[in-house]
Amino acid sequence: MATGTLAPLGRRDFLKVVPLGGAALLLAGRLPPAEAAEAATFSPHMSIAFDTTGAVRLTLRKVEMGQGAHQGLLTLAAVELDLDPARITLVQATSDPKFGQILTGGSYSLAGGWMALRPAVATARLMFVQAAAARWGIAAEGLRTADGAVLHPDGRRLAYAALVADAAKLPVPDAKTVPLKPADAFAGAAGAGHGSPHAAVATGAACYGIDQRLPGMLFASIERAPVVGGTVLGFDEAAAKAVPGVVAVVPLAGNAWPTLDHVRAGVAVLAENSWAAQQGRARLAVRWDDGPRGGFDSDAFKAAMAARAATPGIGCRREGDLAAVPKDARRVERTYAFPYVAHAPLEPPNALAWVRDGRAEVWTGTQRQRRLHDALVRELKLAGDKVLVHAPLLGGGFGRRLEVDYGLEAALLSAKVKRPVQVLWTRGDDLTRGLYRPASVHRLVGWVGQDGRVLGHAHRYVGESVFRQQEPQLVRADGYDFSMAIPFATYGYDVPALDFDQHPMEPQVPCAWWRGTASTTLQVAQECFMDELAALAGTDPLAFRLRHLPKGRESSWSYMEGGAVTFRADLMRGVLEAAAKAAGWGGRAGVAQGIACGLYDCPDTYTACVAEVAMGGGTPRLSRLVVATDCGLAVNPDRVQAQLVSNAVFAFASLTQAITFRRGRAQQESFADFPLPTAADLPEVEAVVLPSTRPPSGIGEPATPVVTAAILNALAKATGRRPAGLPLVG
Amino acid sequence: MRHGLLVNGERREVEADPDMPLLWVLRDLLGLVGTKFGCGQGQCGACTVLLDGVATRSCGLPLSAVGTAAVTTIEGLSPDGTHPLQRAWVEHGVAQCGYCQPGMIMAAAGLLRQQPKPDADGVKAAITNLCRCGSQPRMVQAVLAAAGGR
Ligand code: FES
Ligand code: FES
Repeated sequence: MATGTLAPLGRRDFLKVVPLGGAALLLAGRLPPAEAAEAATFSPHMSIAFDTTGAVRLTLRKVEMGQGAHQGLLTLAAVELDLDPARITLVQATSDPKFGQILTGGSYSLAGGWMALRPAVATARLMFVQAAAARWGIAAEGLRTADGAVLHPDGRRLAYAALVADAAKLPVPDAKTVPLKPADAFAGAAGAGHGSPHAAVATGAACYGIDQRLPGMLFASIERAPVVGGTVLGFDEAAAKAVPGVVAVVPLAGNAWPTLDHVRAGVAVLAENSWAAQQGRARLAVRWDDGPRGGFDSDAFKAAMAARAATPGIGCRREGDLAAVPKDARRVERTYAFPYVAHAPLEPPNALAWVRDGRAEVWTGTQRQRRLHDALVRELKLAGDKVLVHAPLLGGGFGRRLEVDYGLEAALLSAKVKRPVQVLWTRGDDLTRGLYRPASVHRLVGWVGQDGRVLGHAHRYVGESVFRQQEPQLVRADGYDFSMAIPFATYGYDVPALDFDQHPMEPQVPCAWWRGTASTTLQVAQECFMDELAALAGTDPLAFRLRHLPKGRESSWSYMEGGAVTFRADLMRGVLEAAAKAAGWGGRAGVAQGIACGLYDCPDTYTACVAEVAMGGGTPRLSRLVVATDCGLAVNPDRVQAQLVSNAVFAFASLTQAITFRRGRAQQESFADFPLPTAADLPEVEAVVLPSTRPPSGIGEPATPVVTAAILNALAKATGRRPAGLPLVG
Repeated sequence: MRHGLLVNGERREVEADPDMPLLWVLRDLLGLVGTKFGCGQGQCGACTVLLDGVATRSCGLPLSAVGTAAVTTIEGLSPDGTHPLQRAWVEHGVAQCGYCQPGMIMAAAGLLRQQPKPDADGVKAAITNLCRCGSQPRMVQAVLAAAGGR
């Protein structure tokens, strides 16, 4: 069995070891007091602890879902400590309140670690130096550290382990005063995949949420309301129970919708194994009351959004004066529509919960341990210190695992049957009963002057507000949703008059973050439209972009208080030129090229992409993608490269994906109608990572809209048909 | 009903419905959770195992159809993780989230038994497993490397 042995629950919390990568990954509960007392430890910050045996534990508040955060953060810590990464054990933070409101998302793990984790661990190194200096009776200044030890100028060395007791007695200095390593110390520091789950993945030992096991556990499969807000009228309990292995049938009332942390109504079948649970579920014959959303139709909603796009929205960014655009300027207007899409992580949502003796414990792949923790406290009416959420490896996240619905389901069932319960969603559940990136409509207008320059540009974004459903406290009184305004703030072309506004709509179906969310439609529209403007100006799309990115130009826009984005034209020029050079912009016979670029606020990753469509044989075929990024210092260049490819493949997949609704029901039930690409479907993908000593920014999601737009621009060039959004049909 | 099975070279006995797909027998009855569930519909390949050396999607294979065939799962591909494919996988850093990868590796193992020296197009045509993270390009590189003994 892939999980370790569980220490007994009860008042005493436990520590569990799960195999993960080269280093063991510990799931951090509060340490058993007995153990903590045994070995003297030195822990100047909750992220790092040393003991006298030489063991070093690094506690990570970020989860690992393929984005390489664990490896990146381990590298930062190892370099800052002058310690071999192989000697550091990674500990995954739980929902313990001491870790705060932890969240993994927004492509922010490395940028955040650069700011917070480095000073935290550098503090430890400094204190070891101080302890050694005191031991030797010499000044601390100028003492070096290497390979886990402080070095005396005369050649003597004191290992950190030997200094643990002394360092623990020193006052902890203010982290702001602690000296940090220069950026170039990190370049090329990445060790042989330490902190990555590669080795464990290759042997099948990597342990995901779905692999968690507890003695006496039951496996649950839930038939959920096909229409959000629907309720159960009746079901055939006897038929389900007649399936051998089925132990219990438990209706779930769900909660009202819309609400925070929505759980659909449904009927759960609990059995001795997953198969029996699924077989029992198939016999339930549930009868539903669809409720008020039973008539929802996504085509009708799209038409409603398009109508809305004709009316002024809430201002997001207004600069200059559109009314001042000369009358002889040429005008172009386009509308782009984008569908709902699902996350479809390959590991379907699942959670194992054990609720007993007034405690709830959940093991689940989650990007948001703490939100689930708080929801469990609320729904199960437990005290905060009686709840703990553990996060094993995630089989993909993409925003789906920022949601807590599946964790709540498992806990509600466990509370009912008083046994550990694992809830496992089927692929059909994932596609038809989940949460979706909102659908949207974008209306763009632009004016090009006689000199071929853009004189004015308007962009209206109509789409459901994820905040309105999930973070209502962040919605301004007039409805303004700043998450829908960030991709307006990252716009950096030099255009004298801009008018960007939004219509944040009430969610029609459960809406969620999705690998870039607003940018994945807004920036695509922006960059497709840039090609329209270039065509109007009669200029090459690359030259046209460069022309509107004057050298040395910096601009910034604030989308909320404390939320400003600075755009540096030089960095965008850098990625555009790098992508163009690598691709051989200007073209070859039989190949149509498209280009796009974008800035992503995480805090500032610049990306450009050239897409190539091969024209031979009648049907145009996407043959090659070249993606270039400047994401600041690439701490693990190999992972940055892999993430760029990942962004590109995600974008490629999105070309044909859509979730549509009829009578309130999602129509796509499997990978047959919500396709993912195979290796043979994909174009060649080349990733170019530009060297930089800026602090690391993120790479989990920035390239997705850029690649999508480049592909659409290349297809438009190849076919002469301008894109109108996604999905592509025919 | 009791069934005998040969899994990773060991005789195992399970008490199960003959219709239960091999995937769930492995995961829920035998505790071999390296074989993954991605769709249960034969579309993604996350559940791929070798059946007498042939790559087979286990989510649609009823226990009754396994018979005396030797089942090899990712846990049994090599005793110590040193199968050429496993080494190539680590060297090429193929995994992103890693969830689809046991299935990919087993599909590749099946391919290399039938066709020890495939070219890139051969790998792409044979390994139709789905991955949400975009590991496909590196997967192809790793399979070619393993086949070339590099
Ligand atoms: S789980 Fe078997 S093919 Fe997807
Ligand atoms: S690596 Fe995540 S699904 Fe393939």
